[in-house]
Amino acid sequence: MGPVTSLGTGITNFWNAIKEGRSGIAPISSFDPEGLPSRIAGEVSDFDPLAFMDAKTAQRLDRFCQFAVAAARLALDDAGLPEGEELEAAGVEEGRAAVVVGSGIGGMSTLEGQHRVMLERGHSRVSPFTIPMIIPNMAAGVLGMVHGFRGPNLCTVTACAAGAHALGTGFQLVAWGLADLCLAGGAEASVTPLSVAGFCSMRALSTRNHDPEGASRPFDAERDGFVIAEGAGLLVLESLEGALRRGARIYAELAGFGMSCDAYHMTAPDPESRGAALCMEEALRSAGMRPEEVGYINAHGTSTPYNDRAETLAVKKVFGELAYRIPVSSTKSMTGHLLGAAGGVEAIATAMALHEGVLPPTINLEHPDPECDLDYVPGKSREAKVRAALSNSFGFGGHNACLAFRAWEGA
Amino acid sequence: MDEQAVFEKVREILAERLGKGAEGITRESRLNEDLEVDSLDLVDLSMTLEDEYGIDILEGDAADIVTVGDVVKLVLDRVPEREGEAR
Repeated sequence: MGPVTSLGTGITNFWNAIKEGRSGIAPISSFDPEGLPSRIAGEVSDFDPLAFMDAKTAQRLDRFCQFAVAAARLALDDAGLPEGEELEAAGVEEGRAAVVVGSGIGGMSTLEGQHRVMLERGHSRVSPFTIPMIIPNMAAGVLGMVHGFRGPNLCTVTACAAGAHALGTGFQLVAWGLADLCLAGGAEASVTPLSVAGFCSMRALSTRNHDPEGASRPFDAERDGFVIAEGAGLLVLESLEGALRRGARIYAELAGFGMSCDAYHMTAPDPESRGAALCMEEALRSAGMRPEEVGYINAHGTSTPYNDRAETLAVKKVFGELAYRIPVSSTKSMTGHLLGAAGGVEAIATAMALHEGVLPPTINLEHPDPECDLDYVPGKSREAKVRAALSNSFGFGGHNACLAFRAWEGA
Repeated sequence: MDEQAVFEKVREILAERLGKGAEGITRESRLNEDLEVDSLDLVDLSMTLEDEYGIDILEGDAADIVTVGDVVKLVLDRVPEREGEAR
């Protein structure tokens, strides 16, 4: 598994920060945010693309693709598939190695930069790399090139559910026998002036600029919006047979996937939470999982007033009285909201929770919203041996995705 | 215009764009085979040279270019034209 986040790059750094309940949120440093209502973000400020790719590759990739290349490298290393030997070592044919990487927005900084070039210097000065750097599917395309994976190669573009849809799609490719192995997850690099301004105009972002680390406070009465973040989260999915054959470390079993649509509003969640509930039910059904088995839910938990209330209602709709006994936490309280990469990063957190028996906390949850009355694991991580978990992702457009995981307890 | 100066400029641009050391780039280096310059790199290089020397490089010009030396020659060919126009 390969996380690239404001909390840390690589599974050890990332997971230690989660267990310690640290915040990765700080004042925006990649551009001058003066005048914007929201001036904080979860940036990967120590990211060095040259640690993961050569200078030519780095130059022709937007930052979101650079994150994807880094996350893929980390995920493959962690899966015991070292560079250049991936397919051979795994006993996988190159045509059976898939890639599915989602992104909500794609190459936003390239778009902004080249638009400025066009206005200031004319269309003939626009870089020939503009389009390949902007299109959101390039992350998946580049990973195919870098690793020689010639199997199915796709991009999901479902806003903040893109990473989860990518994992669900990769899961289906492997489950249906269309691929033996799939690199899947999401990548995003939208901490840019236009993107932040656009989310600000929607009143979607927290303006708690005086307290960056306390700004992402899912389910808290004083939450005032999400905190934008960047990074990537990729996982290696493979058939159980293949993983056992090559003696891979197995973090968890991806057991089910549910999808639905709110069919309600472009950006606001359905106040009755029908779509969110439906995708959780579908995830349980496709995994053959009973509600009583679920011991943890990694919430979408954005820290917006709308989402956290609606998601709480959805959990109650699906689980009834059981809802009050299931720990539900939002790792976005620490990472911020990685948009299309969120589902990938949160799948990693969910798999680690099952693997290590530690539930990530919801930090900054000091005074719960009266309408948010579940067990959100406030403040501190919690040791708990759980057998199954869900991870929710909901995107603008009403796209909902839910991944169902089981703890792996050996063959 | 000084041939050596144009060569050094072209080499500097290529080294930066391709992430290579300048010392490995000679007048004889073939863009495609030796330096792995692709069609997008070539457009990018043309645009950079146009900006650098205030010249126009046409679509058809690239067809005759094989080596770094060819690029230098193209720039040298264009620069006097431009200076001629100015007079």
